[in-house]
Amino acid sequence: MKRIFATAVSVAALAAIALPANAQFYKGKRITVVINYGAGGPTDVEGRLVARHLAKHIPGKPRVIVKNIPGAGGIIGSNYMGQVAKPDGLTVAIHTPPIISQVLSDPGLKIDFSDFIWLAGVGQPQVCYMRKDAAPGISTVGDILKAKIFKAGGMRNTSSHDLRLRLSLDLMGAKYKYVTGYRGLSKVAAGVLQNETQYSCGSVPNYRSMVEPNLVNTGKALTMWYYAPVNAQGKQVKFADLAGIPTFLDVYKKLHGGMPSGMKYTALTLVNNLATFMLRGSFVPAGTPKAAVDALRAAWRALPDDQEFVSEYRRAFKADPKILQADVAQAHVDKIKSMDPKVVSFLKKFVTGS
Amino acid sequence: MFEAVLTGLYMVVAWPAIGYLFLGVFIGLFFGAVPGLSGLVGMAILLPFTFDMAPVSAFAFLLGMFAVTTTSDTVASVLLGIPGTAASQATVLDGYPMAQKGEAARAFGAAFTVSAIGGVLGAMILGLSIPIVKPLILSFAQPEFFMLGVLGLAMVGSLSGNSVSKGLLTALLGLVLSYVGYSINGAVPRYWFGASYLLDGIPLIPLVLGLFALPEVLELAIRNTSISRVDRPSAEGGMRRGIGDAFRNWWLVLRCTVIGSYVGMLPGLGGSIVDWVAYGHVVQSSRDKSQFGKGDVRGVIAPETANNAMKGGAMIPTLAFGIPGSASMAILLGALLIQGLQPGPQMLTTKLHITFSMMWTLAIANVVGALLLMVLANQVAKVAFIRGHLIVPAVCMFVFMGSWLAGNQMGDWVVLLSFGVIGYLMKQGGIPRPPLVLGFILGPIMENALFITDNAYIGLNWLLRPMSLGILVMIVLTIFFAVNSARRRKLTPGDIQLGEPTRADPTISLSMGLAFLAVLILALAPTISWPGDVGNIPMLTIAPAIALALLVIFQSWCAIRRARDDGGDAFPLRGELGPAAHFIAWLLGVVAVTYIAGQLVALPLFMALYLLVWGRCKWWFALAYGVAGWAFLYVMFDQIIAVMWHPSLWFF
Repeated sequence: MKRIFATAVSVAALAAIALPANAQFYKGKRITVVINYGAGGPTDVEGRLVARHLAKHIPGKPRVIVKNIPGAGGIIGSNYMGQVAKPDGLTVAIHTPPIISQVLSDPGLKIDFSDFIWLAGVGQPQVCYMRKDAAPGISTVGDILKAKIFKAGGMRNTSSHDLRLRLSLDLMGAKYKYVTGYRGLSKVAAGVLQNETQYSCGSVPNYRSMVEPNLVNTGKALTMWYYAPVNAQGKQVKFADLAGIPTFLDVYKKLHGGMPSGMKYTALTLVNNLATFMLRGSFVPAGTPKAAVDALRAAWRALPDDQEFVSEYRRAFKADPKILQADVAQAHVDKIKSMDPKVVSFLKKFVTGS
Repeated sequence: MFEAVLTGLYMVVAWPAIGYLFLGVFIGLFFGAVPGLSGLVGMAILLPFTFDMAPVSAFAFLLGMFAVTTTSDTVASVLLGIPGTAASQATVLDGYPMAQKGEAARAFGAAFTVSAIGGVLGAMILGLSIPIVKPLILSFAQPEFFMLGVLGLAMVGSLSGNSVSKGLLTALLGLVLSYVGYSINGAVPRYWFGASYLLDGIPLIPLVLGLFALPEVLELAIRNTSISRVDRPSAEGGMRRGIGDAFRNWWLVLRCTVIGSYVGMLPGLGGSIVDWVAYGHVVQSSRDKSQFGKGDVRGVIAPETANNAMKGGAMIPTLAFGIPGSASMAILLGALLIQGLQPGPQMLTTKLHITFSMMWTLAIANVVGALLLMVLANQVAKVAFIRGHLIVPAVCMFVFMGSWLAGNQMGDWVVLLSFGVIGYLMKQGGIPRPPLVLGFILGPIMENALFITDNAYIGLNWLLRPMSLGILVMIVLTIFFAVNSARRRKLTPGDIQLGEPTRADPTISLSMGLAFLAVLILALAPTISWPGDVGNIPMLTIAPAIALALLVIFQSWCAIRRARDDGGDAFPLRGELGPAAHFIAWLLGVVAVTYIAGQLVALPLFMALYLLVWGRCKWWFALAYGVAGWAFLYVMFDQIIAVMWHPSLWFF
């Protein structure tokens, strides 16, 4: 009996040595992907789609399951990853990380995003739209400057959606009333559809699946612009799949004859870069074994070349997946700590309207 | 359009769609029957399997499952007094007393029949409303949602039985509980005590299971009676009688179908409230109210019709505008996107046949689901006659796991046990629990809508919107009828006590009143330092609640005096509190062992030890029960649902 046991152990050990380290790590294990928004929402649909294809590229073919830990604008799920989840490589986050909450020192956020080990990020810009019947009538993008006071719909005053909405409209010089509190982008768009508000913005999936068919194609609303992020050289990073839509900066330059400047512009650029490049982020708790991190990062790297994934992503979101690899994602998150304190204190005041 | 109707039908009855539909129905019946599992959990689990299916098959699978959870949820509501899903909370009020009278089979017969009728008619309303529904949904903006919330609260009168002051107090307490977590404008978290679990508020399912399920389990454990208080021979002739009840009340069924469809159609109201609205309606509109809360079959018919009818309605805003009204509909929306379909005009024009295929799926699933349950019902109803101690461990497992699914965190169990104790004491003190749940559900809807309305409209102009005015008229009528019937009731004392025992213990009632008062005063303190848009609404809720708490304390004090003067017992529950505390200690033991060794050890251990110690069963029976419990937990919750267990110290 002893001999059989010893043989079994040696065979197992040999088999283990024969496999590369990360192949061995996930064999026979189960990965739980934690999503920090509710089932069915944009984060969830994207997270589940990614999770399913990610599984194919992880050596050892672990079973991948998805769990939603939603609430408080994503904070509860992110806290869970830092406070409850074990760093065993078996719990992986695919989040819409509430990074702005960290910038604003939100009391509810108990973790530091730069403490996590980042695996990847997925970028998507936001597209803004406005009702054509907002007085005295909007037929071109430039008419926004002639518009009487219109209402701009938001979700919560600390969200990157609302911050960008207010900062950009302030910079543009539009006269508007800020109405926040809609629960989710589809409710925001419903408010515009009901003419309760006249202006708002949404992610590309939200824009393509709800705003475009119900508001733009029916002639009720005009697509205004999208916020393109700005790279280190100060150049806009444009998105090929939004080719027909101008960027906010292009519209600004056309209407005002130059680039915007000042604290509001600095803040907008900062918030927009973080929220656009890192709309979704994937990470594991600090202390996760290196073999697991390597295997997961490699799987993320394989995704952009996975044609099955890309075509399914296009079908669902009418956009190409824009995946940031681990080092770039980590660098974006690390920037939070080196942010200009003046901008941070400006943003904190701006949120509360003081 | 007629062609699209037929194409839709053809696509659903063709293979493989019809196969997926039946499979969905089987899964849905199970998910509805087990408390805590629900259509939402089912949708989330099934969604990934639909990625590779053709659209009609995918929706037949998802909606086949989704359609019938509100049919089978009656099983737990009636038999165990535990809402099977959030949409059958109100069914408990009369369904469970029916089981206690030995009429579980009759309740099933009525509930399954009206579920099928409501579901089919609701699907037809979905089909018929497609061309005309757009203006209706668009006219329901934030002011109307706020007014609907007020209308819901106005129903508290009919959900409070004889104790309107207690009912109003608990409704306001429900509102206060709903303010836990981030305020609507997102900047300040309220009443969260530094626990990130509470940042998003208290979850509904653990709260409801605590309030309604644990008190019943406690009584079963303490008294070791079977659920039915009568012997089997006197409880014959159930099923057929129930089916007859359903058809005799055809006018009520039709009314509740309409209620269900319209509540479903309004995004954001959804399943957890439709049953209360229907229940409030039947109590209010019935001439003879004397049996409500004691096992009136109409109290089962109304919510069970409405909660199935709701589902057709719920799909309309999702399909027509891409506005999901509930989490389940958000998943359906996700499924649409994954299938490359755009909700909106497309679903009503070029893809109309797919929309109709969904309607047919709902209709077919509802009929199939009800028939299947009717075949099983007579057997299932026998659970009501089993000795209490044999049921308690299994029910506890479902209640614990059902709560755990809300957030997969220990906080779920803290909420469950806290509200279990509160619910038990409320029940014994004759303080109605339904208004608390109603206030809790309506709170966020109302606060959110009022906040946006206040910003988006000038002054009180929104009150003059035609829809708002219409709802205002309904509110006035509701209050008028409630006051009127309360006056009439005073002339004939001692009738309804919804879901509460007639022997209200005045000492418990007094203690609860004092406890509520203390909580309210503590809750009032921080509102003063909060910014206006965060603190005003809580303050406006708490101030009248304090006045009501004082009134309830005074009334209870008088009741104690009266009892003493009559030479009666002012504290009849004295003897039961010890055993109740003992049982709660056992439940706390489950939490402690989970911290150390995880749920897969704690729950089976609890089951086996409970049977040994409380049930005085043979060791081999207790062991077998525990092993079976473990196997169920492992297969169902670990392998199929893939629940995230608590990361315990020793295991996992």
